[in-house]
Amino acid sequence: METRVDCEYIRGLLADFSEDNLLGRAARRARDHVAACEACADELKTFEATADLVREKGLREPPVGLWNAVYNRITDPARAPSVARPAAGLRLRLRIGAAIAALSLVILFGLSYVRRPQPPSVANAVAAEYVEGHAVGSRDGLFADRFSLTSVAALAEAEQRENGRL
Amino acid sequence: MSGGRVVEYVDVDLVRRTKTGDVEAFEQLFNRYQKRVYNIVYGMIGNENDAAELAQDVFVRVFDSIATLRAEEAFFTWVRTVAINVCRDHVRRRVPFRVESLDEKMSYDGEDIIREIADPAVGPERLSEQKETERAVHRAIDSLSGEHRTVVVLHHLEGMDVQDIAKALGCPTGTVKSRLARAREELRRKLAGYVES
Ligand SMILES: [Zn+2]
Repeated sequence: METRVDCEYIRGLLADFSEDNLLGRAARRARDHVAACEACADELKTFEATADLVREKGLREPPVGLWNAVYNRITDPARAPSVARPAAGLRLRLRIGAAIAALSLVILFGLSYVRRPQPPSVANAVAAEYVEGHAVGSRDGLFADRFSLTSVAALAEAEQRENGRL
Repeated sequence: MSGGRVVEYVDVDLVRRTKTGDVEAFEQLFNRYQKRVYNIVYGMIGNENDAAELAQDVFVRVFDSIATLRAEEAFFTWVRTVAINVCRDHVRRRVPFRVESLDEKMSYDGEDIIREIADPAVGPERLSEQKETERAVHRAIDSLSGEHRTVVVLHHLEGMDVQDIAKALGCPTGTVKSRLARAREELRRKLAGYVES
C-alpha cells in the first residue's frame, strides 16, 4: 500500500527520474513506486509528455533574409575573413622579414662561393662560360655576376635532380 | 543505404564544392542547416536580434574556415561546434543587464538574465490551437534561464546526448543532467495546460 508521504517524496524525484538521473536505492524506490502507484505513474507521464511537446513544437523558423545577409558578407570583396589571420600590418612585416631572410641566405651562399670558387656543373657550362666571360669584361660587376651564376646554377641543378627523380 | 548516409554523401559533395569557393554549393548547405543553426543560437542567446546576427556569424565563419574541415562527412557536427563556440564567446562578452524590449520585464538571478515574457494580447480564439500551443512552448522555453534553455535546446531539439553537451559546454555531465531535470520541471509547470496526462 502506497502512502501519501511516499507519493510526495517520489514526486520530488520524478524530474530526475525522467532524465534518468537517479542512482541505486533512489532509482529503485522511484521505479517500484511508480509501478505500483497509478497517480504517480500519471504524474511521470506528464514529464515525458512535456519533453515530447517541446520536441514537437519547440523549433522556430529562422528570420527571412538570413541567406542574403550571409551572402552579402561572404561575397564582399572588401571584408576581412572572419577566421583568425594575421592582421594586415603583421602580414606585411612577415613578408618583409621573409624577404630579408631569403636575401641574407642567398648573399651568404654567394659570398661563400666567391671565397671558395667551384666549377659550375657541366650542364651549366654554357651559362657559366657566358657569365664568366661577361664578368671578365666588366670587372666592377664581378660580384653581381657570381651571384647570378650561383642562383642560376642552383636552380638548374635542383631542376635536374627533380627531372632525374621523375 | 540509410538516410544518414545519403545526407553525409550530399554534404560531402557540397562541402568539397564549397572548398573551391562555390557559393551556390554553400547556399545549399545553408538551406539544409539554417533552421538547426538558428535554433541552437536562439536557444543559447534567447533573443531574436542577437540570434539572427550570430547565426550569420556562424555561417560566415563556417564559409571562411571550411578548408580546415577534414571530416567532411561530419560537416554538421562541426557546424554545431562552431555555433556553440560563437554563442559562448558572445555570452562571455555580454553585459549582464540590458533592456531588450519595453514589453519584456528583465530580472537577474545572479547567473542569468531571466526574461519574463508577457502573455500575448491575442487570445487562443484568434489563433489556431496548434499555433497557440507552439507559442506557449516558445514562451516557456524563453522563460528558462540561459543555462537551462541551452541544455533543453541542445538535448531535446538538437538530439545531442548529455556527454556531448557537457563536452561542448565545458561542464560536468552531472551538471547537464541536473539542468535538464530542473528545466523539465519548470517546463512541465508552465505547459501544464497544454500537456495531456
Ligand atoms: Zn504515488
